[in-house]
Amino acid sequence: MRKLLLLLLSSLWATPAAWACPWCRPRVRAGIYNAAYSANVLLVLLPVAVLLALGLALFYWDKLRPYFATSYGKS
Amino acid sequence: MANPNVSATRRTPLVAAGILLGAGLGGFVDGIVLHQILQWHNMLSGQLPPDTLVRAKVNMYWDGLFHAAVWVLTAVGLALLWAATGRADVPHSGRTLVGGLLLGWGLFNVIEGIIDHEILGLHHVYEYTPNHLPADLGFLAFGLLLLLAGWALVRAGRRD
Repeated sequence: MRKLLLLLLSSLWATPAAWACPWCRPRVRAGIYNAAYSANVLLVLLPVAVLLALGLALFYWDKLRPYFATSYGKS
Repeated sequence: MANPNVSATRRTPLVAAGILLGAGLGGFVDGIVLHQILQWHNMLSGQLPPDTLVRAKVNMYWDGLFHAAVWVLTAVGLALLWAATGRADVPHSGRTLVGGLLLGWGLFNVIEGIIDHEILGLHHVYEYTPNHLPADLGFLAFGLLLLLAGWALVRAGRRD
């Protein structure tokens, strides 16, 4: 058991460590915050925004229905 | 406190809360299972393939933004559920709520599948194949199944 523990510890010692990547961080930031940033935000959030609007409209439908009925009635 | 003289007949607020909660949780299933565990796609992997560490980390950022958005969806759904359960005219129907959850998950698959996969091409369900259509259609078909199951449960909940 003691030998097994020593073997495990020594294998951990021999394993190459994972390092952060300081040189790639500026490249990552450049890849995110570029000219397409606002467009990408809008595109990524679009389906969620549609779902949120749909759910809220359904929840408040009782309050919204008279407003829509009046709007359509006037036109 | 619920007023016993008011009949609990308005199920729409409960269905709406279920839809938002289901859509948020469905978004987490997509993000956790397909983005992180199986690594079939990332948020922008259709435009920026994650074939280098830098590109993978850029995709990770957009995955994070997506997760933040579905977290908001889930939180709003929870707030609406709290508001709905406090109303005397909203029935305490488990089938209606679970039906709403399935409707929300199904709507997430269909809306995200149509907008992101088919119209915008931000990513596809399974990127590691030249033909993306079968997996994309499978994702949409699963969404439609969820919608049907949710609709059936909501209808069954009318008797609750």
